[in-house]
Amino acid sequence: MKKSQNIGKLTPAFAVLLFLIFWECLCRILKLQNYVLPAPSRIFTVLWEKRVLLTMHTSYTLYEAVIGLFLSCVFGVLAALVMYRFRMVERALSPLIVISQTVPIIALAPLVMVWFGIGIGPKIGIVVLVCFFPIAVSTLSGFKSTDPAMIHLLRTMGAKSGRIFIDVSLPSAAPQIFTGVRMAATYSVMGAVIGEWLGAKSGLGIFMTRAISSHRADMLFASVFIVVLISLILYGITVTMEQIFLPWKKIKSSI
Amino acid sequence: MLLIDGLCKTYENYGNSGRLEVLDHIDMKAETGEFVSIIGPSGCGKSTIFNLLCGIEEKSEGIVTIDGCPAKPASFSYMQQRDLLMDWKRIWENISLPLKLRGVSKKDAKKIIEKQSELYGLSGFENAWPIELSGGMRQRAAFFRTMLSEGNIMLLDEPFASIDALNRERLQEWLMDVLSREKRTVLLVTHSVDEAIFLSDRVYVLTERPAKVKCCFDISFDRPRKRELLTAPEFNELKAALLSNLT
Ligand SMILES: Nc1ncnc2c1ncn2[C@@H]1O[C@H](COP(=O)(O)OP(=O)(O)OP(=O)(O)O)[C@@H](O)[C@H]1O
Ligand SMILES: [Mg+2]
Repeated sequence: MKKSQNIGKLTPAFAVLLFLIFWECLCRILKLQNYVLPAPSRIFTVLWEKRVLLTMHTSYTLYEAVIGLFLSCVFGVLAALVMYRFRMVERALSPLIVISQTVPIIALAPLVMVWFGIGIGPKIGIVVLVCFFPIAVSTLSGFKSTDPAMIHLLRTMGAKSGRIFIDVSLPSAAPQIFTGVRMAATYSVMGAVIGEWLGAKSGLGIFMTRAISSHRADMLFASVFIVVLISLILYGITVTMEQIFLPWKKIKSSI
Repeated sequence: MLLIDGLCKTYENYGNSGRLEVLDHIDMKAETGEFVSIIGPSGCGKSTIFNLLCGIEEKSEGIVTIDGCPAKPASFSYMQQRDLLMDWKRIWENISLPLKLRGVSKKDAKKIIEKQSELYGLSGFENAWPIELSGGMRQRAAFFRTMLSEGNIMLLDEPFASIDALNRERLQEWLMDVLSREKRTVLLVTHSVDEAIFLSDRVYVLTERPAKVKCCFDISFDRPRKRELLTAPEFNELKAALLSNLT
């Protein structure tokens, strides 16, 4: 029983390993050039050789992504709160929010640069632009899923609105808030990279553009690898936070 | 004494037909400390009566008084049909909600609950999450919470509905035991004629919607009542009379 569970957990790792081996073989058999498709071994070599430079660039990107994600959480939850509390605001804002999501960020980003320069601020702004929406929307639907009978129950016990919000609405919405944050976490690093593409002094995005212009596909893949890695780490952190803040959900899934 | 006089409820803007008349001049009374049951067809408006008493819904007409004064929602402790335990609070936190809202400190509340949880068959489960409990335990936890509410009149809406027959009988006896220690006025909604007669001092039978009081039975078996009562001839006579009014 225990053994088969462990094997189940390892299956994805095996799949990834198999994929890497296949990739490596492909490159060696077809004798692909580095600028066409570098083999995994080559990518890991580059990762090691450029570790100092990559660490520096990664720290910028990670900083932008984390700050942007944090601000998105704050603004997203606040916006959802206002929309939940005042139906008028929701009716007025929801079409705007949906439209804002159909605007391609990549088209908007250069403008942001024009407005705010090429410092770190506009990158954070783009991360917020990408991450705000999933958090606000799922938080709002979380608030709306509050059981009205539960609210009545507390009201008959003499609870005030503030109490009801803290004891009922917020915990009811919490699982969906975390769903939104989890989605946003996976977008956040990408948002920062897109911001950097369009002009920056440091960051993985600028590292990528340099790698492309000097036909260094191995360096490009190395930075892609890091983007994937830190996105996964951020995702993992949100999952862990959810388990800490919503302990009852863990039990639910284990039953 | 609780007096309900000419209670009416009509839902306006209901579906396509416009309005739905649910309650049509309901008259009821419950002396202080009495156990009163309400029985009637499904969907006739039993839960609605409780919702009106608690102020969850606005009544359309009628007067409700307690000892001659207009009733306040705070005079009732309402146990709804669903247990309404909060998944995100541990059992003891769920139960202590009425205490917390009255300003009792966490520590004192926990002490009070640990002292009484034996009686409610919940000892050892104070720290569990609601989803870890069986349906019957959840009902008892909800009942415990209702008992801790200040309202002197308890409104119990099918508290044993989701429990199998065997445990149901056990819970009925347990409910009588709990109530004999702490005298309270109780209004109980139930589908079971046996349950109504076994537990009550008086049973009201309601008609199909719009609900009116069809008839009212006074039940004067001595207390404490034993299970054997269910097979006594007087019990069965009453039951037959009640059933004939129900259909
Ligand atoms: N908020 C509401 N708005 C409109 N109609 C309602 C509302 N609440 C209840 N009703 C209607 O009132 C009627 C009576 O409902 P109620 O829940 O009181 O029945 P009940 O006797 O408790 O039924 P059951 O035995 O199945 O619990 C139903 O037809 C229901 O559809
Ligand atoms: Mg009902």
